Amino acid sequence: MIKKWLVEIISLLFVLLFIYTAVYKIIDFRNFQAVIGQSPMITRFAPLVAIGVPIAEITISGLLVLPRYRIIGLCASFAIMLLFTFYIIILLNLNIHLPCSCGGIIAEMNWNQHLVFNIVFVILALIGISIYKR
Amino acid sequence: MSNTNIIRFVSICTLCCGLLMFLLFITMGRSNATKNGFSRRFPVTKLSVAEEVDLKGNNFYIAGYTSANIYLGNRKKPLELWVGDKNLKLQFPEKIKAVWQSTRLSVDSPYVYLADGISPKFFRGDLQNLKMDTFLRKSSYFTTAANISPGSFAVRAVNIVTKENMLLKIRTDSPHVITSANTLKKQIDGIFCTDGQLKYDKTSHKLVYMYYYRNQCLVLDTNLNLIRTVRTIDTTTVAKISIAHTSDQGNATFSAPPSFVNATVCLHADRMYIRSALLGDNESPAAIDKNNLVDVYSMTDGHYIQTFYIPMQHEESFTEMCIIKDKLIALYSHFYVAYNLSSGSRKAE
Repeated sequence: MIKKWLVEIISLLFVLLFIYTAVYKIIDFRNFQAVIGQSPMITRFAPLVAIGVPIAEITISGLLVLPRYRIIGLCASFAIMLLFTFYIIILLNLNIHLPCSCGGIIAEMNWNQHLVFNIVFVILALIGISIYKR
Repeated sequence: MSNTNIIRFVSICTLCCGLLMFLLFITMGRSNATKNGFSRRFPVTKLSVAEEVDLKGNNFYIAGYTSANIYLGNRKKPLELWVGDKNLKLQFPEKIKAVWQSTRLSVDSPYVYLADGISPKFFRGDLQNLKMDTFLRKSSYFTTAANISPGSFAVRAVNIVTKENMLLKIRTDSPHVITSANTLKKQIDGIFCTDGQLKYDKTSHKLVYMYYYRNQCLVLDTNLNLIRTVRTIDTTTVAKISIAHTSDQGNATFSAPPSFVNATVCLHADRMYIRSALLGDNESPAAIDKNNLVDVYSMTDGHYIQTFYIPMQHEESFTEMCIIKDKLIALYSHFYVAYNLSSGSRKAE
């Protein structure tokens, strides 16, 4: 029973996180696209990434909400958070000072706080996956 | 999912994500990845460290210097002045409500000035008693300022009609604001493409405007007449930047990493010391990872004289520099370093 609730809570946290940041990105879309373009790693793919990231976030939220696809949603959450985490690790090591484009209060964190925040969510997703019961 | 499946998924996922980011990383554009089409004069002079001073904080900028002292301001504490690491208490005649990070203090002994381009406001005070008084009441909005004399400032402002950067002189005497027509040349948008640093050399009475994104420095007299355009040795004649307009009110930002040409400038004894962001074709890429490259030009004839390699401290690049007697002072995040200019060792590579 506890495990079931834990999965519910983790899924809810991810849905909140993804919908919140996706909405921010879409509202301020032109700025979001410009800012991610400033990252030397993404410049070439900025228009694609700018559309892709919010769509991915909303899609994953959808998967998490539907009980049938929840496990796929948890796996996808794990993957996307891991991807963001690797990105932050490289940015930190490159020593480039860029604004974060996640949106909302999440963009107020500095990169080190952001890294910790992401790792926490990666671990949450992993917990969700491992205790999920069909 | 069974435990083996979870482990399999997690490891494949980690591998794929890591690989994707690694691919993005190794294929990303680097400004010094290709040949930049110019060479530096060799052998270069490598400077040695004389002294490192810890500042117990970040966000400092160089406000000015005398032959004995270096004065620092702080972007987060715009109303405070430091000499070395000692805080001087400036006294203002009124309570200053809005303090902006763009507000700058500048020191030209015996005076200290505060220039705030957003209000806009100027204050002037004596370094002895630190009492600040309102000054240059008839001013203009501006985005950067350089003190010329106890009664005048050169500033960069945005022309409200053309929405482009221009240079102005603000003085105590009438006319209070003198404009200089068309000195800063628009290449892309007129704001970002003309961004740079404005500095004044009180010994040669020349102003210099150094562009960040093109290989040019403007040398001006104190009335903003162009004396000469100095070309730096690299080949970026047109700014490599791209701009995105992010709102209908005219807000704009970069949409790709800007390609810096010149990072910062300081003036000394009729020479310009410019920290270049670009590597020459005859230099090893390792050089720019361990050193900041400073090229020296003559303000009299605009010729390139020599290059200094300034070893990075704690793997950082310095943000600003100034020259006091035989020392080059470079300001880093939370410390500054004095380098010996006179006894630099020649280094042939």
